[in-house]
Amino acid sequence: MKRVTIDPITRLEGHGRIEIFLDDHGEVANAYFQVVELRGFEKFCEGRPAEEMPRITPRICGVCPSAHHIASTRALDDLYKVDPPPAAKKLRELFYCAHMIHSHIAHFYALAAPDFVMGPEADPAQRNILGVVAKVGLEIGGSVIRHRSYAQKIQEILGGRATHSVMGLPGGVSRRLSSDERNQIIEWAKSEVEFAKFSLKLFEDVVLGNKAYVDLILSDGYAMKTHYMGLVDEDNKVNFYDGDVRVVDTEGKELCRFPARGTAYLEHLAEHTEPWSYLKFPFLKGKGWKGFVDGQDSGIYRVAPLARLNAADGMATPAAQEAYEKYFATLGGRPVHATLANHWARLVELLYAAERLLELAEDPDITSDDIRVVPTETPVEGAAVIEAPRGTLFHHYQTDERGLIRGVNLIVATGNNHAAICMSVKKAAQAVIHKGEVRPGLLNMVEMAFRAYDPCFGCATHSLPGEMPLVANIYDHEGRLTQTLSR
Amino acid sequence: MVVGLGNPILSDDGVGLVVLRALRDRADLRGVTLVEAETGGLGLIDILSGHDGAVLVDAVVTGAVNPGEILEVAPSFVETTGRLGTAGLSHQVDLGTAWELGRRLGVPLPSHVRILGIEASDVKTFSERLTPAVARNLPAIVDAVIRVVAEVRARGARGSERTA
Repeated sequence: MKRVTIDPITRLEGHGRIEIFLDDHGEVANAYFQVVELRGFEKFCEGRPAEEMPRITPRICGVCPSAHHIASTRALDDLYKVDPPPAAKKLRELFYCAHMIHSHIAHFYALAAPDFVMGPEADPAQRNILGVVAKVGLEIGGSVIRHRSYAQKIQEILGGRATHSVMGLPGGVSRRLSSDERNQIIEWAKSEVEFAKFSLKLFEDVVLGNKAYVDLILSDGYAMKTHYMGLVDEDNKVNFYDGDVRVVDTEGKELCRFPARGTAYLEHLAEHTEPWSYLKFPFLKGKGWKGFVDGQDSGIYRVAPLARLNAADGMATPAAQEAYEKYFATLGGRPVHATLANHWARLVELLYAAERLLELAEDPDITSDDIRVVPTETPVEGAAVIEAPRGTLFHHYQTDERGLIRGVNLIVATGNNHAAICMSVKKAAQAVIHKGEVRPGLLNMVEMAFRAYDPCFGCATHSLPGEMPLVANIYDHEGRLTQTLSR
Repeated sequence: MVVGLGNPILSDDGVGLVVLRALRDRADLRGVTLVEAETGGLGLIDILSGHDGAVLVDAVVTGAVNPGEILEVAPSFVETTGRLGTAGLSHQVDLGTAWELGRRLGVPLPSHVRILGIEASDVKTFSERLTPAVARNLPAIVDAVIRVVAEVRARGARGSERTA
């Protein structure tokens, strides 16, 4: 065996790439964000039984497998024309709240907090979760890990496996919850609620307590007036699992809405392609594609926490509702256009997910044996929408009469945000890069614009889980590569 | 323990999982915990927690060797703090950072860890099959993993003699 030291090791060769083009004064003329694509997902699925999709789609991406699992399961409900019993819906939603908690904790503490706790231009060797833990203390670090782990264990209890669940079936779920398990989940859920409140307090102390950060969040370089999409319940409150997809305009007025189950999305969304990107750019059909511009006439919309709070009239649980009100009161009312406010919105959602988790765990239905309706209809076509941690997620399948897949269409969270992310990167680059000076700290401030979206190009391009190295290429006004920064 | 990492539907990316399954039939590995892990970062720390020695098998794309060849990744990698912890796009904390975080928080991590990377040819096409170059080398890869497991066990045994 050969011994080779690989340092740093990356499991993948695909790099996220920012291309920044400077004009002859060294100002940013244009900036692109590009990702690599994987091949053959549709072909891989063709001919397979549709009921395998909830186990296949989570493997597109290692980051939010449970979101794909649930979206896929709900698309199967539509495909087989079944309505699951109440207990099955509640078990799925309970599982899904745990996933949301797991994902939001990881994003905030590992990816968002380092920029604020350590500072946007801090040494990259310190600007990570280790730096955060060193600063806020081991006790809090342990609490972060513990609460992430509770959320993971809840998914494991219900999903059958820690990461790639097997609970979702058309018409229900594969397993009921025992009362011992329910009691354990109640205990964990109570702890998650307190932890979410603590996290919001930490955000207020560290971020809102620092005027420079508040100015940064509200600055023009990190703002964009777009439309916003999110799932809402019948009272227009944020929901992650079911309801209507609601789109509001740049002023917060409802632009359109359609049911989360079924193929109605096709009437409202279309996809634009660009020669320089594998990943498409969805836009609102009613507005049309007007290019990479924001504003009321543009078809570009955003998804993810910022958008979800903008698209809803409130939160369905009490403490999260309070946090929602404080968020909009502080940031100047709904809608909030500040991209970096995503971090705060994510914590408001963390609190909602924790409160909803507790509600569901305490629901008398939750230990019911009635967890499945067996489908009897012949499948043809089915689709469903859920809210993934990083935004609205669409699954749409067509099958033959045996239920074998003939067509698959997925619009994933980061796909929805793709145009907005590209524009945010350009805008942030224009705000921080001047006179040709590009240093790592400034590059991080450009990265902060897209990190706020919690982008996951994993499933957007069917790319790989794990580390995703970033390369920034800087070009002068004649298109010559003058600098490459990588990490 | 041996942990095989990867994605089972992405061609050679799943080689760590395929190797792991091949190890299940080997009598000489009785008593060794075998885990297929479609995860990374903090999830991996949960898996390693409480074990004394571990061998990790994963796909790598280095371009430095031919597909199917085995590389040993220097253990210093996992002791490197923070260096890999800043990739802005990932939702997973990388292994080095997760390891260091676990260590600081008192997670009982293995005292001996060896990391084997299998050079992949294709990790971008959805398929449940390995590419021929990697598949051909599978028996040699399995033998190599077993040798490394024996070395880790020997070190572990010496370790307990010392503490005894």
